[in-house]
Amino acid sequence: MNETLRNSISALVDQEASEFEARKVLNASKSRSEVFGYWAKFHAVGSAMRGEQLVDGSLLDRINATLDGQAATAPISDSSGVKSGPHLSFSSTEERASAKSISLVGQFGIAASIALAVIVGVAVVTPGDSQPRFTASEPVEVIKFQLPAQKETVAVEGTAAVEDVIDRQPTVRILSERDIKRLVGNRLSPYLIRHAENSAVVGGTSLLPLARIMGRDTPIE
Amino acid sequence: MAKRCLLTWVLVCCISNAAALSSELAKQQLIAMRSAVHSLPYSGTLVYQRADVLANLSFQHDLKNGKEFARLRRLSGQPLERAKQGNQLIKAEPGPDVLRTGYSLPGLLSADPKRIFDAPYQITLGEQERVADRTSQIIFVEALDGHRHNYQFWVDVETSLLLKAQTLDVNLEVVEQFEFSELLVGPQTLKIAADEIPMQVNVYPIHRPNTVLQFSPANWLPKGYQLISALPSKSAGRSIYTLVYSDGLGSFSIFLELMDGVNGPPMHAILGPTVALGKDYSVAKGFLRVTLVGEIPLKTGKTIIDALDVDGLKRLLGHS
Repeated sequence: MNETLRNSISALVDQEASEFEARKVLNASKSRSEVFGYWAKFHAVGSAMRGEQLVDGSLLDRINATLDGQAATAPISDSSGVKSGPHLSFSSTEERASAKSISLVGQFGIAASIALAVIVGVAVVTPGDSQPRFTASEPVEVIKFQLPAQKETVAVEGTAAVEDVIDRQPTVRILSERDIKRLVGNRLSPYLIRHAENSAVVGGTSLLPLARIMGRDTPIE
Repeated sequence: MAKRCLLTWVLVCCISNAAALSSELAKQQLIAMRSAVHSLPYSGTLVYQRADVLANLSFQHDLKNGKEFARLRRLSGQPLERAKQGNQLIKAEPGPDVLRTGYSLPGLLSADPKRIFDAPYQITLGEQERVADRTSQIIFVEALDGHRHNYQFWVDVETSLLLKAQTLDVNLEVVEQFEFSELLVGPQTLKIAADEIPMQVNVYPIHRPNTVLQFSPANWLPKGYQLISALPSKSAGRSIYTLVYSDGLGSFSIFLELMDGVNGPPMHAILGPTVALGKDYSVAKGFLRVTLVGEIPLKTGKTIIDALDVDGLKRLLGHS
C-alpha cells in the first residue's frame, strides 16, 4: 500500500476526502484486503484520540448493534459478570471547568458553523426578499471548487538561487531567481510551445492543450 | 465510534452505488466524448487555470467541407489566437500583417481510443453535476502507476462534449483545470476576432505519416505510452527530430538535435502538469541536445532521460 492510498484512507475516515480519493480507496478495497485493516486502524486511532470507548466485536456486529439501537440504549455493564453498583467518580473543579469550557467551545463552534452555513446558503439561494424563503428541509447544493496547487518551479543543475546560498557548496554557481528563470525560459520555452502544439494535433481534446501556453505571453515568466 | 464508523461506511457505500455503473459505461462515455469533440460544431468561452495562470479563452469548433476547423482566442491581455484548419495549425499574434510558414508538426496516425484502455488507467463513472448551465456526467480516470496523471472529466449528458477537465498529480492534487462557462452547440456565426489589430500569422503544416517506425530511443519507457509520431524537421535552420508518445490522455515529446558549441547544464521546469527537462550530451563536434516535455511526473521524465540510448540517437541523427 503506497503513501497516497494511506493518506486517502485517512482523509476518508476524517470525512475530508474528495470524491476522487473516496473512489480510489473504494477501488483499492476491491483488490487489497489490507485496506480494511487500515480503515479500522485509522478509526481506532481517531476514536482513541477523541477519548471514545473502543468497542470489541466485528464491524458487522457494531453496525447491527447501531441499527438496533442497542449501542445507544443498552446499559453499560461489566463484562466480567460482577454486579455493578452505583458508580461515583470525582473530578476537581478545575477539570470540570476545563471540560465544560471545551464542551461550550465545541457547541459554540457547531452553532457558529450552522449559522454560517444558513447565512451563506440564504445569501446564495435567495439574493432578494421577493424570492421564496429557504426552508431547512430543502437540500443545499454545495459548490465544490478546488484551486490548482502551486506547481511552478524551475531548476538548473549546478546553480543555486541567492536565497539558498548558505547551505550550498562553494563550487555552485550562484544566480538570482530571475536569472535562473531566464536561463531555463530561454532554453525550454520554445519546446514547451512545440509540445503544446504536438498535443493539440495528436490529442483527443482538439486545441485545448494550447490553453496551457496561452495564459502568458511566454511559457516561463 | 460505531455510529461514526457506520456513517462513514454508509458514505463509502453511497459512492460504491454510483461506481456500480460499470466501468464499461464510463469507457463508452470517453469514446463518445472524443468523437463529439471532433465531429460536432460548437463554441463557447472557457477558463483555464494553473498555479498563478488564469486564462479566459473563447473557443469555436466547426466542420467545413468535411475539414475540421477550430479556433482558440485569448480574451485578456494581448490578443492571441490559435487555430487548426485541416492539416494546418495557425498562430496569430499582434505584429505586422504578414504570413509566415513555420516548422512542421507531427500528425496523428489514428486517433484510437483503445490506447487509453490499454494504458494502466481505471475508468469509472461519478455523479452528475451542473457545468456551464448544462448537466454533465463525471468520469474518473485514475492512474494505476506513478508514471502518469489522474484525470476527472465532466462530459455533457446531451452532446457528450467535454465541459470541464481537471488534471490531478500522483498526490491527487489538482494541478490544472479548465471549464466552459458557456457552450453553444450547433454552427455559430461567432465573431471571435473582434478587434482590428494587425496580426502576424504563422502557419505550421501538420505532417501525417503513413507509418510510424516503432523504435525506442530509451532502454526504459513507462508502460502504456506508445510512439505515435516520429518526425524529422527543421527549426531555425537546425535539424530537429521529434518523437511524440501518448497513452491516449497524457503525452510527452522528445526533441533531439545535434548542435555546435558548448553544452549547457541540465535543467528542468514544472508548470502545473507539464514538465520540461533539458540535457546536453557531448559528442565529437558539439553536443546532442535532448529535451523532454510532457504531462508526466518529473521523476518519470528524469528516468526516461537517464535511460536514453545516447549512442543510438547520435547514429540516428547522423543519418537523418
